[in-house]
Amino acid sequence: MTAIATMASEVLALAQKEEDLLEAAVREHSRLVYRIAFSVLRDHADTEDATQETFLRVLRYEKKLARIDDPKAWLARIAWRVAVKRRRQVVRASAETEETGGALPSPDAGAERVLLEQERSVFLNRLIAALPETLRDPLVLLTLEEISPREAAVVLGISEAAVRSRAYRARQVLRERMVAWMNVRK
Amino acid sequence: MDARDKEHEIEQWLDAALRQYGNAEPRIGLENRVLANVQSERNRIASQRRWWWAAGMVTVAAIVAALWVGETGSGKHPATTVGNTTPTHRQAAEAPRGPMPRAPVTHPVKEVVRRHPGKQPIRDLALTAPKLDQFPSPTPLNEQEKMLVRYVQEFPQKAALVARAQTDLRKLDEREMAAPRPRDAGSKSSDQQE
Repeated sequence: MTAIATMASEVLALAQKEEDLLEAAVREHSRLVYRIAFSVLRDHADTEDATQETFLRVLRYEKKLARIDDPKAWLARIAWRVAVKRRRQVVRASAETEETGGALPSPDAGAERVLLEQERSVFLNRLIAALPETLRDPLVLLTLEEISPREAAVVLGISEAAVRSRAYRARQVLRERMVAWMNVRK
Repeated sequence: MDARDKEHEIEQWLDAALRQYGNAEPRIGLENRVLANVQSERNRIASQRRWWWAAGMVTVAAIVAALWVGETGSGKHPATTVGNTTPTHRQAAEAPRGPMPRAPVTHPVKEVVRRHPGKQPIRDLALTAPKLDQFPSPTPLNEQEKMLVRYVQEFPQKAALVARAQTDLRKLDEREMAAPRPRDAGSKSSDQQE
């Protein structure tokens, strides 16, 4: 009888520990998960849904959580996959949302400057969206301050060197096209 | 502004724009919403598991009960006794007696396998009871009958004479009963003459 009670208490303690681990992961990494999903989806409502879905998937593998060496990279990988899958399902163009919600320019800037900044942001978003996936994914991941090239390599399943070189190549393409666009505008 | 300055400016702008690109802040309370959703899902899974457990237990109990009923049903009743003839009368079981031995009436007992030992309908009882050749069923001889049998065995000629005399007497009685009765007057006159 005592052995059964001990076993039951151990099981309960283990379940509680798993719950605590998941709660800690949510509190620590939900912002990162959100930003990763947003870098792919570019829509806040979709991003929130993707974040919820990511943690529901984590719940499914809750028992594995204690054995994960790098929970941050593991979560980032799940979030990335969920977001990419969701992007394929989302029909509406994600760029349209971003067109109206770009970075706010400083209030002391002139009206012409504000317009130019907004126009540049919209164009940059379109350029990034138009990049091939192999170049876009490393670039997008490295724009997130929380993600190192090593973690981006884990998320994408490629080597760290490949991440760096692809991000560099993507950046070159963007710069060239931006220069061309600015020359056309003048 | 020469080309190098222009490139430098674009480079700086690109850095800032890319930083901005990845800079997205969730709405306040994201963690709580996620935790609430996770808790709700956890409860749903637990509830589902409980239902599965209950359904499994019920199924197992039903199977065990069915097996138990099957085992007890086959274990309580003996094997079929086809061809087994059992005497139904005490006389048949006893030794033969006297000159008028009664033929033992035997019937094969029908095997009725009871599926529910607790309940036996009346129809089953009727089927299990032996069918008799004579109705009402013959009863054993009483003391006087036994003495008569013994007398017949010991003195057969006397018994035959007595039987014949009794038969004649019975016939005479029957004849007298059947004859028309004389009128009252006739009888009176005859009485007077006597």
